[in-house]
Amino acid sequence: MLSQEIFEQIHLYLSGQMDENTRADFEKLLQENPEMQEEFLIQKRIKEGLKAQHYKVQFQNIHQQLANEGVLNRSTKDSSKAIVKMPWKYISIAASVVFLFGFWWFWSNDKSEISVKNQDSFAKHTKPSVKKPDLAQEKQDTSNKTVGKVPQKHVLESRIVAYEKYVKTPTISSPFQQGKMMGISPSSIAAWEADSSALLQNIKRFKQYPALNAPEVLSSFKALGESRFENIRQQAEWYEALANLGNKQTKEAKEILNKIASTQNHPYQSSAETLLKEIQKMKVE
Amino acid sequence: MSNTNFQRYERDDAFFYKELLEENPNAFTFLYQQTHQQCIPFALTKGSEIEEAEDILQECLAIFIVKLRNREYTWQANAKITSYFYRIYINQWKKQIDQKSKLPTLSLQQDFNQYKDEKENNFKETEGEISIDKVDVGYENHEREWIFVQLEKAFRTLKEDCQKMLSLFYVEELSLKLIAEQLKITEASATLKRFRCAKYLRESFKPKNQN
Repeated sequence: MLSQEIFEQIHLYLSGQMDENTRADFEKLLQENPEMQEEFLIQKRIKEGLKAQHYKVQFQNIHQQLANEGVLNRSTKDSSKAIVKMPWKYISIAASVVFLFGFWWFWSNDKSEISVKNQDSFAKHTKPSVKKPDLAQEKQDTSNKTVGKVPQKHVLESRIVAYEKYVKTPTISSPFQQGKMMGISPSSIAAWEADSSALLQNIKRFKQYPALNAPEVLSSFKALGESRFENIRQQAEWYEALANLGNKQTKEAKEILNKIASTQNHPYQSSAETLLKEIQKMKVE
Repeated sequence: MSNTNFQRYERDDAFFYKELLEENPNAFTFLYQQTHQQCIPFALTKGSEIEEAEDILQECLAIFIVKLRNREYTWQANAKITSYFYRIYINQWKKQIDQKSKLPTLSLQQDFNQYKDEKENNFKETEGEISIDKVDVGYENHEREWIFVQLEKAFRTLKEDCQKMLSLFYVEELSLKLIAEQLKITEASATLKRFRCAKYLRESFKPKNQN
């Protein structure tokens, strides 16, 4: 159990503020008391971990700065000649075997059966007992909207993922010109660094697992929409709309997209228009 | 950015080490630029995505700076800092690839126990100082994941005022007096609040049935 006294002692030690004798006594105490040793290790680990997170943000800012200056080489051109040797010989033999097997299988099976099997899972849901494909009948079924509830949901869920292609890492240019930093308050620079790195971090997280991380990043984008910097606000608005789509909140997404589409010179004005048309086309409400 | 400084860092590794210890922004930039040049092409030729490779780089550098500032890494004349780091990077990159293929599921407590055992062994073997070979093995297993996934998640569940308090305390290492000034509260309240917030965070690393 972490008591306030132990906590204070641990941090006095970790910050190097203990004199030599007290330090030696404390180390002895740690050796003798496993519970205290555990608390010590946890506190040390938390402190180092939070510091590492802070340094990571610093390196992300440096990365952004160097990327803006075009200093970073993001290709393999200057690699240390690490060549990946692919076993092409074996790959080609395996591919040939698969091809020949596929060819044999295709001709030895009934073609009408294959055409049914090759329909996507949605078709399987809607027509589980199809004996022979009847295109005319199928067309009529679709126009009469005889599709059941489950398949309808399936369509919406599979179509909603269209937003993912819009999740790209943007280049955010700093509002402060290099070499003309005189007169700019340090708090403005700090605020810019905090907002831009938070934005990039959340976009990165969103890009990694769009549907999974959408609820988590949504609130961050919403908060960044209040940033004092216009380009951060505009980026955050766009990603808030995308995160809403990821979170299946189409109505909210559409509201934001409409706002973006009607804002002159918004960097995502035309993308918002396109996305709105796509949503409309899919009839996702 | 000072090119003169960069030239000196390139020539004089001991000076570069000193500047890193002092958290000189130029030294950080030089370190990033150099290691990016060395490490990223390696990961890309092995088929990594650029963003994943850069993410690993930034996380490894962050932990490296913590270790450097804690003197767990100490400079040695026969090993250039950036070359030394390159080995750490390759090690961590390989671990990431292995982990991806195994998809381990570790609980916070399991992970902490593992860390504790490793630390205790280090403590016994070297009496508090970690030898260069130990550092060379890389960071403790899952250390990166613990810091940048689990700890980050736990920290984000805290209320905003607690996050601020703990950042000022753990990261900025401000005295209670300065924390109290920043948060516009009394020193006594700051003492109490600091302990409570630290305890909330610490509690997230205990299993639910243990108090």
